[in-house]
Amino acid sequence: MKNLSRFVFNALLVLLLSFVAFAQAQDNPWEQLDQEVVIVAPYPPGGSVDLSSRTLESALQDLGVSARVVNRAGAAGVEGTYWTTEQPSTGYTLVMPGVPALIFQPLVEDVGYTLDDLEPVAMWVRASFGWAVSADAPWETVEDLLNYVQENPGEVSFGSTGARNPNEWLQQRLAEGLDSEIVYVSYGGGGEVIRDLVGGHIDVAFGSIASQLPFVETGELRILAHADPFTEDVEGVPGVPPMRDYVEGLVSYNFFGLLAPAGSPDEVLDAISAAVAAAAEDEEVINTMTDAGLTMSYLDGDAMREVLIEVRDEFATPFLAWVEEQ
Amino acid sequence: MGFEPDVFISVLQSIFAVAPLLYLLGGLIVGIGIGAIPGLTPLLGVALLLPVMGALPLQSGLALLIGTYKGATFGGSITAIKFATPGTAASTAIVQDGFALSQKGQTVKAQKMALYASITGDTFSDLVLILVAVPLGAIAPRFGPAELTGLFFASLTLIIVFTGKDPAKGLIAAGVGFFISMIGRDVSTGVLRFTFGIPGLRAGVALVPLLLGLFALPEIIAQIHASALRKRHLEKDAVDAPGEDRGLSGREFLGAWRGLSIGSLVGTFIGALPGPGSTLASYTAYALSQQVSAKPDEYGHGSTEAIAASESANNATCGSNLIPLLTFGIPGSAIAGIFGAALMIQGVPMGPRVMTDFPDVVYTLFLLLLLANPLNLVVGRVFMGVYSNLDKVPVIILWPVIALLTVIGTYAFQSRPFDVVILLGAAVLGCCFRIFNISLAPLVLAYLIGPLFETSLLRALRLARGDYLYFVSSPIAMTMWILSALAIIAFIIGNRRIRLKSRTSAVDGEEDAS
Repeated sequence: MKNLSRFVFNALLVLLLSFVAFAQAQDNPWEQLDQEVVIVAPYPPGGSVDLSSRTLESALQDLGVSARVVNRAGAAGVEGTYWTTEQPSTGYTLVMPGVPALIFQPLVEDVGYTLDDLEPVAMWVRASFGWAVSADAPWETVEDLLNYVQENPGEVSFGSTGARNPNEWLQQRLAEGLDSEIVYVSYGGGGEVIRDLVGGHIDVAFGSIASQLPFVETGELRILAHADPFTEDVEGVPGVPPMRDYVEGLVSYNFFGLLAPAGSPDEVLDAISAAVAAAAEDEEVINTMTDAGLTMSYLDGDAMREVLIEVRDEFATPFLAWVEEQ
Repeated sequence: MGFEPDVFISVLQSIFAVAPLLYLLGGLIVGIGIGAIPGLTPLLGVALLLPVMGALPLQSGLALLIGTYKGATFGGSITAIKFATPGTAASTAIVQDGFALSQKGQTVKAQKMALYASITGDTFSDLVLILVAVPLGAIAPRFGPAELTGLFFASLTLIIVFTGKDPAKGLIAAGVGFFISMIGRDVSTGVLRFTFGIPGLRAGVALVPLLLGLFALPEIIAQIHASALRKRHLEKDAVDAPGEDRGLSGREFLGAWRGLSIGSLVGTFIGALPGPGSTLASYTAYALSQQVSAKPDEYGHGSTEAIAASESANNATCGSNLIPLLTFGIPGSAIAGIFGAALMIQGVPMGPRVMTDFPDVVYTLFLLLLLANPLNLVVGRVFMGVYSNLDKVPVIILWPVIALLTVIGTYAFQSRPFDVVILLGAAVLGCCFRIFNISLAPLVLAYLIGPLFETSLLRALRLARGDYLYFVSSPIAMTMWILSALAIIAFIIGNRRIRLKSRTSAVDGEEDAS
């Protein structure tokens, strides 16, 4: 029943909005959009990007913008992103890649595109990452852990997703900053890392706070520090300190936003960006994203470009040098 | 999770309404159709329906997903038996036996066995999920890198040792499978391997194009070849009615109890583990049931017991697949991940507390899983009839159309044009295997287990920090290594016996070359 009434409500809302649109034409910038907005989610259905893009899709539809999500998975986001850069620059085909596919992968190898082939349109949400240990681990605070790592080089094992990628690089920089060594264990997905942490096979897990939080609630895990560059206190884990306070520069970026093929018309992109900004205010959208452990962080195209360039320039050279070394 | 009768009764009432049952039925119909079409996997079907979930009430949405999942998992067997073109990866295990029966004019028998076995395995697995999910779920985290390395090593040994008559050919096939699995980006180190600078190979060789190439295309070529020969020599031959197809008798079904019970157990166990999935389950059940079968010689030449084992194992992954998701909040497979996402869309956050916090949702899921089985039986029977009628299509139209569907399905699988290239490459390989009469099963298994074994081995080696006793540091790990050792010993003894037997039979006269 609840869903039926919601459906009726939404339908009425759309109807109402279209009347309002008719009455005061061009009042909302997105009303000039006359084609379907296609959002390419370059990952398989079911993940964070998929959920984020689908939430955006329905929020856009509520605003009267016709929108559709298309999953084009492959090579950890690279395939779908590349496909988007090859599409005509109408402004109506957009992609929502994660930071690794958008910035790091093109730096490591020739994937057929670079950041310059894409035009940032709007930042949508970001995921916060953190370091968690098992509840019966001897370390109560991040200082305990760091001191132990410092005194016992090569003993503590850190698990995270991927190898020779920003996740491993971050853990190795942590060890370097402490002038010590760690054992890094790579995994295919975040779930596996947590399973091995709970099972006592690894000591520390680095991953999204969203995936760790449920286990903190059951008392199986403890989050010691976070890697969010934008805030002191991450939502859901108040009092957990940022790692950058202990080891300089230890931050991790992962945010999802829309980008269009370079050369897309500004009017269309601005209109879509305005619609995304409006969608980001929606109460229901905020709830869905918070439940999934994501923080709303709308930025317009220009501001998003600044963040992207900052991440690329600040991390590109040292990261590439590190990959070369491996 | 304590049992909560009030919640249970209210859930019961909400499910036995018109809408959820209709959605369940609809899901099954769509699912069996998707499963029967080569290239369209259960995962794809469930993923396509995910967006619809948001617009439906919880019961109907889950009913739709469960129906599609179970229907598609069964549906693959229909085309595997009828046209030797497996609709799903997991149904490749029954291609040989099912198609052999089909060629003998026993299509209905094979299909009924596949259907009844699927339902049996599925129901068993659902009951396990419902009754012992909690204790089973608690075991999952204890399988760390060392234990998994042992487990995968044991299953590899069992399979290579026990499939096929010729161990040397089995090893060759397994070697090829390992090699194919290594192509692409290595998960543990991020290095590209054996891509020869071809960008399309970076993502590796995907399961669906590989299996369709290995099984379906060579069969299609062989069929076209055979029908051309038939036309030249015989004009009209007896292929239409060699023996009556009386379907499956109750005694025949129960006679396959060994296959059914092994399939149900193996499928349920493998389904509950993170990673391996239904294809591995059906192949393992096939290999194991051949070992305990009263008629192991029939395997590969139209054994209903083989079909019973593979198909029950295949569908028995359906229920247990959800164990890690429900008890631990972490999906063990892509499909379980989609179920998790579907529940999240409905406002049910997935995590280790879902069973305590949302008993109504969990009961709904359980009841729908059980309810889907009898409905799957009904829908499956209807579909079998529909597909059997495809017989009447002339061969010169039928096989090219299947070939076309195979290519389209491969492309549809993940919209990658390069997958079609992989399909064609695999088809060449499959033809070679046919010519040299090498079994494809070890190849498929090595391909599936190879990467799992490798990543857990590398992880374990890092964690061992040079101490190799780490590999036997837990009772679970120890058991796995002992099991592998026993399999190898049993193989050596058995092999000697076979050699002795073949020496005596060689004296008797000419050996039967299959």
